[in-house]
Amino acid sequence: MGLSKEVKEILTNNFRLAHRPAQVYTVAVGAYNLFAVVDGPIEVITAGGYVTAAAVGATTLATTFSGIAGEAGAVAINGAVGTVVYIPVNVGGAILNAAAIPKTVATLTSMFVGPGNIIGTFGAGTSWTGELFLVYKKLSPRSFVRML
Amino acid sequence: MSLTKEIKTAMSGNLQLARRPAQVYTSAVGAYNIFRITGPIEVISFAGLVTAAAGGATTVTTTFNGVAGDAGAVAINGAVGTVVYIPLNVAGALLNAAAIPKTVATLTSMLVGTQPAGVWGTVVLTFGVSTWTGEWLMQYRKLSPLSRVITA
Repeated sequence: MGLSKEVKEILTNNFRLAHRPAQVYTVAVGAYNLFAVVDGPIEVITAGGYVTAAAVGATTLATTFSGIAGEAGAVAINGAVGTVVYIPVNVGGAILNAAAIPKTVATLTSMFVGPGNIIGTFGAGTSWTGELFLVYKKLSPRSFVRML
Repeated sequence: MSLTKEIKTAMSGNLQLARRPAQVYTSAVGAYNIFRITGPIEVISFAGLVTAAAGGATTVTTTFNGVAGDAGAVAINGAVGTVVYIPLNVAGALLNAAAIPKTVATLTSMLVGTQPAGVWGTVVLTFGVSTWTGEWLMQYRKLSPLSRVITA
């Protein structure tokens, strides 16, 4: 096997970070297409956000991954600047927002996601500002995540 | 995607290691801010290594941005060469032994931000009872491309 192919094969098995730089998300818009899962399935290992400016109001977030709920329901994520948001990628789990968040056995979940969009819906309040991230693993050599 | 871009993309998802070389920690000082965090990260494993005999039954407890990383202070005065395991979870116990399994019950990671606003995220170790000498190792994953962990 050539070096290039060898390297590509190794990289295929690595974790990857998909990242959306900070922006303002408004309740008026509501649903945002955040990421697209393209050309094959992935396993989402960790999903969440990072507050970079104060939210206006008690803005909530709810997510879907190719149409499947990523949590039990919308939760306010208007924590202080610098706090992190944890999306449990499981309809049985709750979104959390704190200075630091343990992923315990009860919340240690990943999610297989087929091609489609990852959508964040912002409700209540007025707006939320921050970064959003997704750590994932390819389940097919061609799979990747594109920021929308 | 070019191979260079492919490698850069893949590397951003790789685990990183922050290390604080061996030093003496004293209960007189108590709290040490050992790492500074510049952006969101996921701490995967956090461990210590005893490099010289402790002065007594020295205890340690941890916080990440003020959030407890363990259930409470535990003596970590094991022999030179033993490792210390921080559970990254307020429900878990600190352990100190020659080898420590990460079982299903202790398999925890922790997302850590940079609160309070405008200041670094902090990893604080608080020592009690006596002195302790060793190094600290934190394996983490960046959750933002610019996130870094700096030895404080």
